[in-house]
Amino acid sequence: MIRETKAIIERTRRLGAGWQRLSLAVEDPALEHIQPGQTLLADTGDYLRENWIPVGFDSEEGVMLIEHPLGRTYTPGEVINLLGPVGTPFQLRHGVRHLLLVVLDYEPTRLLFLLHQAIKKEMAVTLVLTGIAREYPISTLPPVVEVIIGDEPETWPNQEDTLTWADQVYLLTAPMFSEERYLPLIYTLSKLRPALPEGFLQGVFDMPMPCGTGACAACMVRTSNGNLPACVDGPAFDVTQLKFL
Amino acid sequence: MIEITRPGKYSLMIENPVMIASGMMGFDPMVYRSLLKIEKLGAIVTSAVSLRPRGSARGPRLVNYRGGFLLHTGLPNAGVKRVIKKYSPIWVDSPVPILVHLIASDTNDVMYSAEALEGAAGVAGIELGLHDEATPAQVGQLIEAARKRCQLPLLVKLPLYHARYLAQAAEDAGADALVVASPPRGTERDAQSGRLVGGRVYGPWLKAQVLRAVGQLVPHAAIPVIACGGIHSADDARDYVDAGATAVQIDTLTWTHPSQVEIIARNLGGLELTRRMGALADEWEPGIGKTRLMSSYPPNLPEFPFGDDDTSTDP
Repeated sequence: MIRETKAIIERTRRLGAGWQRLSLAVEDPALEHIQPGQTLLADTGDYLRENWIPVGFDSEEGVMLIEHPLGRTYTPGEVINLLGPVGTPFQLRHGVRHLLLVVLDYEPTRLLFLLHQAIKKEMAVTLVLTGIAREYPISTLPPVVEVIIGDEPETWPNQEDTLTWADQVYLLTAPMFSEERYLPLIYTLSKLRPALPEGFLQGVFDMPMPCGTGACAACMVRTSNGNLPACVDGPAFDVTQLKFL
Repeated sequence: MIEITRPGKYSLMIENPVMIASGMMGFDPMVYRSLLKIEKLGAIVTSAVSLRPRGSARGPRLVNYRGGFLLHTGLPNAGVKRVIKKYSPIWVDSPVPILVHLIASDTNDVMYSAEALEGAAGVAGIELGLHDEATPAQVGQLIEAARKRCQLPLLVKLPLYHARYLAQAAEDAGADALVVASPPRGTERDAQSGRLVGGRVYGPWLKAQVLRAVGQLVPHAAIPVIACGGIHSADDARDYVDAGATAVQIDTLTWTHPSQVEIIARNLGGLELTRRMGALADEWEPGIGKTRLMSSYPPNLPEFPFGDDDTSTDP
């Protein structure tokens, strides 16, 4: 259930050349149960709220960790008005041991909470970064994560091996390129795995979300179940159920 | 109680002059229960429905710019019958009246959609959304079509820049109230895709233009005028009431600061319990909030807040 609450920025930290991490003390204890896939809509001074993506919790300090590219500067002590949680948590399939996270020429933040949670659950995680995703400071990631860097925006080395190895795949790219980047992967996968299990290939839609409740219809995704708002039914959708045309 | 439609057998009364504009709470306003007390509102207008299903717009739909944003959704909906089937049970339980926003595409669609809504439980009225290029003759035909098989209260939402031009036709054809106005259309470049995107534009700046349109319409309207556009504070809403609006509809504030919507509703409904300074409970009444300078404003100075008397070319 979405709520309006406040948080205090307790700490800001720069990650690599172009990223920052904010430690947030949240007022509403319900937000401590936010799950990978869910986000917060933060009032940062612009007219519409900004999507803030949690990447985990610092249990020692009791703060939520938010990451996004450098841009606006935040000061410790700043109070931020938040709406959230927004969206449906990512659903890991039963029995997943090998998780493949693929970020095609996009900011990888949306998948990092899932990455950290999967490692806690002792899953083997491979992270593919292509295009601008390669700029993410991978030194901040846990060493157990296998990181594959792709030189082309749409593909990566050992693509077939990694797709065969995985029990579940999460794909992330700019929504406007989802069709041209997801369709080739469906084609490749269909050759490797004739019967693609339901939920095996998840496409993550990181779209602007003015309302966070599905009312504004700005983040609608066309699926075989109709037009669904990414802020309520997403951000992840089974790629095989997307209607690209 | 406030009567927001012309008096008659099927008039619509609401308890608070603050309504939610179409599209702001989708089809299921109960989603907002965790963000504000819905029962404090006057009424809620749903997202737009059409006779047949409509898909969402393709390509970039949202462009942020300084002071507002542009939105182009394509008005996706499952078609009036499916919408009624899915949401009517929710509307029945709503603590405030639900009005359904109907897209005024063509006369047949409007007639059949209105007929479907007439028999739907939980629908307290219809808000007919006119398209920007509608002519007075078309407005008359569309309203007559809606009226043919439906006796629900009929509000007609006018496009901002044609509000004065279409208001009389809407009133003559049998509209029960005028909603001023649908936000204007604009074009802006989407930074991510680099494409120009057309859509409706929203933001606090809208209020000044809508307030002028309301002020110009009210003296000529024989039916209630409901103001809609750019309300972001109780003072904004009061300005509309001062200009003669019977009620107001809040638009994008519902998304950006939903709790503020409840504060405005409590304020205009005389229910505001506390103020920012921690003052004692009070109730708003005309005159509260007036400053010393306001009361000493020379009475003989001319004032043309809504008129066209100012012929100067100064900005």
